[in-house]
Amino acid sequence: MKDKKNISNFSVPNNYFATIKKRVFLKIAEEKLPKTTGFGIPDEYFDTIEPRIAKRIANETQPKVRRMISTRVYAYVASVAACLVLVFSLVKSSHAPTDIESVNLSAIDQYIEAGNLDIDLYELINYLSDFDEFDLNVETSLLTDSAIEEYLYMNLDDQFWVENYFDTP
Amino acid sequence: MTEEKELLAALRDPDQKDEAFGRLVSQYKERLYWQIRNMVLDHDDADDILQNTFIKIYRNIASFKGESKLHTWMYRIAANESITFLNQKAKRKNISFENVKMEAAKNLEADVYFEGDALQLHFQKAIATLPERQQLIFTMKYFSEHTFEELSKILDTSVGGLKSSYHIAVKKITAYIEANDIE
Repeated sequence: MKDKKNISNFSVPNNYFATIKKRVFLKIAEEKLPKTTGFGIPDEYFDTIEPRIAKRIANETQPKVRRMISTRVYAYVASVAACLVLVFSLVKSSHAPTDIESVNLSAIDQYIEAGNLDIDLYELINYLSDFDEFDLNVETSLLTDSAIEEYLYMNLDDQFWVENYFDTP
Repeated sequence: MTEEKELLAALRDPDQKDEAFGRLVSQYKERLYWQIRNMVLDHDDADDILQNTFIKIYRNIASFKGESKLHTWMYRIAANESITFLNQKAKRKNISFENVKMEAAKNLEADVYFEGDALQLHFQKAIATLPERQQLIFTMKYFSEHTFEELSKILDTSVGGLKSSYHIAVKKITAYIEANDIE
């Protein structure tokens, strides 16, 4: 007895029957998965898309201003200029005049106390004698003669100076 | 498709371009949105990518050769934009692509635009564990009506390769869900 009464001319892809079991199980597994995502969207979201995209395109198609100098050249020039400004500002700040008023007094105290001003009385006299004119401008008009005499009398030990340099009655 | 040919001709005509582009956006906005959303999960991200996709289409329509169908080309741009977005995010955060997706899946728990249940949430986490290419293939096949032949053209991959990747993805997802006892 023959197994097949009639034979059709249909054919199947290669490995069709070998893989059918695998594919059926896969289908079963797939069926267990959720069919929807649960994602929501804002109300009327899709109605807002066209105008927003049209607006962005309109903004992008605005005529652009072309630079006369290319960005690269501009960057080089700007870099060189920035370097020059930096160098000049450093040189200038390193040669800035410093006067005694701009130095903090406590800083001077610290400098001397640290032993950096190591000069004795003789050196100081030498410094003073280097000046051609040593002007000690003391405003004496505000002081009376008697006040000056009183001060010198009380502060100068040597009577010789008083007697010889001041006209005492 | 005659309609697509007419639309393409109008898009290439400067006088008709804007009007034709409006029709194109209207026709494809939802399909492209859901393709993107299924990849990036967050609505705001999907919205940004959708706009970028359409703007890219607008800018490059003149250079579209017509070697593939217009919608195939558009789906491909949307897929590339989604993948690029996720990769950039991964680079910025210095984490892997899969971790970026897992973060996005976890964020769904507090997302006002996620109305899913525990299984749907777990489903997204399971998808997030897949490698980049498998995620793309799975989401584009499972959630849309693309055939493997269409997907083959969009993703420029053989049908056999796609089927294999899809089947592996389904197995991994079901295994993840079973292992985490959610059903």
